Amino acid sequence: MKVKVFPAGGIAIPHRKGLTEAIPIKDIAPPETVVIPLHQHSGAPCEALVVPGGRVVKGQKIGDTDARISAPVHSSVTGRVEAVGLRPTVRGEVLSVVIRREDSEDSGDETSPARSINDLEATEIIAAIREAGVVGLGGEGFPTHFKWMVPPDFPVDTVIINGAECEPYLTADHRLLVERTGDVMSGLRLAMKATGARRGVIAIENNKPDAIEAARDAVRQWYDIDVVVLGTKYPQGAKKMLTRAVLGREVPPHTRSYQEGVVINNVQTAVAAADAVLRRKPLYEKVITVSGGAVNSPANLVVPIGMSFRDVLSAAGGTSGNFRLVVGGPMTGVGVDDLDLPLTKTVTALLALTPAEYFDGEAGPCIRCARCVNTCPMRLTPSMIVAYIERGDVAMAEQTYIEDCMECGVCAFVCPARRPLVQQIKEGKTALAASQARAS
Amino acid sequence: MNQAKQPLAGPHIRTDLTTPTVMLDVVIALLPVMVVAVIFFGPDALIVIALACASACLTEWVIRSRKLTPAALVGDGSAAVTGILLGLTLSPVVPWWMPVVGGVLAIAVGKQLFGGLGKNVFNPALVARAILLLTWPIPNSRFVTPFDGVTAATPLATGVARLWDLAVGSVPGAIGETSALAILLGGAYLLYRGHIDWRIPSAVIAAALVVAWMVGRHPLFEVLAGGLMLAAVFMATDIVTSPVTRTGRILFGLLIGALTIVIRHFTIFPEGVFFAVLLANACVPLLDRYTVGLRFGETGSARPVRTAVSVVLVLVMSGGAVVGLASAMSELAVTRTAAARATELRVVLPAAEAFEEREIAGRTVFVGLAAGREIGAAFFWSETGFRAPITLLVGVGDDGALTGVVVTDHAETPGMGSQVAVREFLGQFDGKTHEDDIALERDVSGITGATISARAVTAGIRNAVAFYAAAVLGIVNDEIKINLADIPDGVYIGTAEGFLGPITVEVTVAGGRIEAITVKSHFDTPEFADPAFEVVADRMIAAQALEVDVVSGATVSSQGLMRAVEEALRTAGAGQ
Repeated sequence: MKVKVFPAGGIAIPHRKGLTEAIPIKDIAPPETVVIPLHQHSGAPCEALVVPGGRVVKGQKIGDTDARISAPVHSSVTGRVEAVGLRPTVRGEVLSVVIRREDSEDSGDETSPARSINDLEATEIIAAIREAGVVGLGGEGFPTHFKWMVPPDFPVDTVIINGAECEPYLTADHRLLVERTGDVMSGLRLAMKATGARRGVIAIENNKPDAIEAARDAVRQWYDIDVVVLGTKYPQGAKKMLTRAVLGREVPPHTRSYQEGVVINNVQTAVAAADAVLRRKPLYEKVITVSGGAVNSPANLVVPIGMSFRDVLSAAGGTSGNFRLVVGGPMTGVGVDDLDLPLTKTVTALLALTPAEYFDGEAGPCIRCARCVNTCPMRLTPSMIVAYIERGDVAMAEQTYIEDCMECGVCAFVCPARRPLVQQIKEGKTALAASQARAS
Repeated sequence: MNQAKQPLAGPHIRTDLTTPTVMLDVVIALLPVMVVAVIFFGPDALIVIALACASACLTEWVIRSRKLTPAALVGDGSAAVTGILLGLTLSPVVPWWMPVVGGVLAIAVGKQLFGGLGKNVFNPALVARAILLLTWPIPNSRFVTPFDGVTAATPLATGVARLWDLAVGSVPGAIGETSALAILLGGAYLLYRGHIDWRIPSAVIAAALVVAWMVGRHPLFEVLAGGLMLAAVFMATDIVTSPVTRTGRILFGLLIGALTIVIRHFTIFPEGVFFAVLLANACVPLLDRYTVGLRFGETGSARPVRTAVSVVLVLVMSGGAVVGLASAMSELAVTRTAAARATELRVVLPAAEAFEEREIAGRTVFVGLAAGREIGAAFFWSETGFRAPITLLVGVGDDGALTGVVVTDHAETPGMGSQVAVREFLGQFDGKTHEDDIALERDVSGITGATISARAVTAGIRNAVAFYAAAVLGIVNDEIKINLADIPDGVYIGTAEGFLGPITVEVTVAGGRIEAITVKSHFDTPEFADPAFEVVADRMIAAQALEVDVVSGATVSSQGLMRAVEEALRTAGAGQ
């Protein structure tokens, strides 16, 4: 079987997926309290629809806005609103709703009969997706309904379900592909219908043979949907890399995928779309991988949005010894000290990495080995960009295309001098934005 | 949890590779080169390398660290690599302090002065090598033959060597530069480990081959001889001082290859590769800046234009530097005018008050007069040198002894072959007569790096003195007269000095005629000498003469054969 990969740049990295890839997704006991931020997505924040002291049921909409690019937020538990106010999150302080859970069977889930995709109009699908608060669950957080509202001057020909899951440790998409293959298919067909795409692709890296097998079985009855087997290479799950690998198209700088006729959705986004449209179930919980050497029982768990990291780790059997908590994959995720931050829609994993697993050493001087240049999937020159940033030359950093960097972490991963290139590039982008703001 | 801390950006995991492991791999890659060096040049080679390495590490430690532990001394290993590379560029017979001083220069001047690891513009080992060569040219230009350690010129200086010897490394040269095969073995390891980019060595070699062919030098010889291979694999690929872009690396390599041949061909330096690398190092920031490739998804032609502009800039800059260097050096080349002749005549025959031009034995001779008496003569004498005839003005006293000699015209390499024109060399011949057996390395010292030129001058003086003895004094060396008819039939063995060693011939004489000439052994380069021997032997047999035309390109070998035959017949005559 010939596999597809993006050709230039990228690296082979250790998978470390064995901890959780064979374990079925588990439900967990709901926490006592959830803190649900009203801004978990790209676009405008939501306004609170509830007040302290009010009662909410699971699935009830608690935040919304009229802004075009945004997504409503729903309660993940049934209970009483304790507070509405600013609470710390991974992205800083955000207006959040604090809800204390009450034991109750009440649920906001509508028990509407299952609907057939064939009977739905594109506008109905998009409205349902928006109402359910579905956003890109691979970490992007872009409102899915808006993504599917493709401008008519950019006809979309292909929808790709991104099952690359190229980051180490992460297996949630893998398990969903195996366990909820039908919903992945439904989500893909909804996306095709909403965007008018004629072709659907489920793209999976070849280190997940059971997922490939399941997807192949599921697509057999659909002439317009294929499974594309990808070679294992990081960062193949990045949208531009995936488009290049699957379709051979390079999306130009400062251009979005739809402008090249492609819409890409994560596996779990497809599942959430199926839930939203076919079952009227809003996005108030998601599947994440809880893994890492310090986690006692690594697993893929269905966790309510707003649950604290501490509670999630406890649900995975707790932790042993010192660890660094990484929110997301080990390549692009962020390390946080505060275990009481709430889980949001964009969290793909919680990793408690032991000191042996994560790097925490001194950076040496750049020896100009050019490994970062040779492996950058965007074909940038990270060592040069960072050299410009270090000497405060944001203009040259811009001319060296700092803005094209997608912060995949390949450059820093391969750096023998252990330089924090992603961190420096992030700082450089901030400095560049500040200088552009001054200039305008 | 009052203040949310700034989240720590990824990646949280890293590759196993670190700077010290990269450096260790370079040392491992250098092992074959070092082993071969010890085989050919003995433990002296290892001592030079060890001294350079220790000196570099110590210097790095003194500048960078406070505590003296073995770990602090090795540091990230980059100083050790620099030291070893420096050692490999030195001759195995340099004085012990040369690698020590070199190690200090490499780290202090070549590296730390620029800000330390990663900041240095120039390859630190080559910075030290260049300073040493320019400061102490003689010990750094003296090389020895493998195994026996006899002082000898490098193949680049002599222009001849068997290609196989160059590949294996059994030729005189710097410790680490002679064996192309050992260097390639180390390079293969570095490629396998991903530490070097194949583009750089390939471009260096490709450019050297093409430019050598363009200027009429033997392409493969130029690539294998001297330090080009060592530089291509280990110096040009130095990660700190080479470009980071792929296009930049190709241009960088091409620049080094081309500059090397240009320097070898047009300047006083027989070896140019280390200077070429240093010049190319200086172009790296420019190359990097203008060869940033197309981004992902980017199409268009703006970048190739910039690249082309940078190539032109780089070539113009480095070409200008080389031409400037060459023209500055060419002023050192000796040129003489007729007006200077009077001075020269007085130099070679100081006792003369006046000179009288006469025709003696078909040659213009300036007879020296003092107090109305002939006290000797001066005359021009030409002898074939390394490139073209060398013309001497020879002064001989009325006793037949040399009173002085100057080189009036030559086309030898300025700075190297042109050293025959210096007084220190020529003065050695004063007082020699036709009775002295004037020979290089026996009673006069040669000049390192100018073996051929020195040999030509020596032969010229020997012949000029003999001419004076015969033509003016009427003394004919009996031995020189060989009458073939007098020699009985038989097979005679004779030996004479060839180009790289003695030539032994077997001459068959029958009925007063030379019937056959067979070369029994010789040390000259077979590619050049063997066909020449055949032609010269045929000419001698056809002409039944001891002096026939030489084969161009193998002048010295041809002359050696004729002298060996003469020697064989002389023994025949003596045995009578």
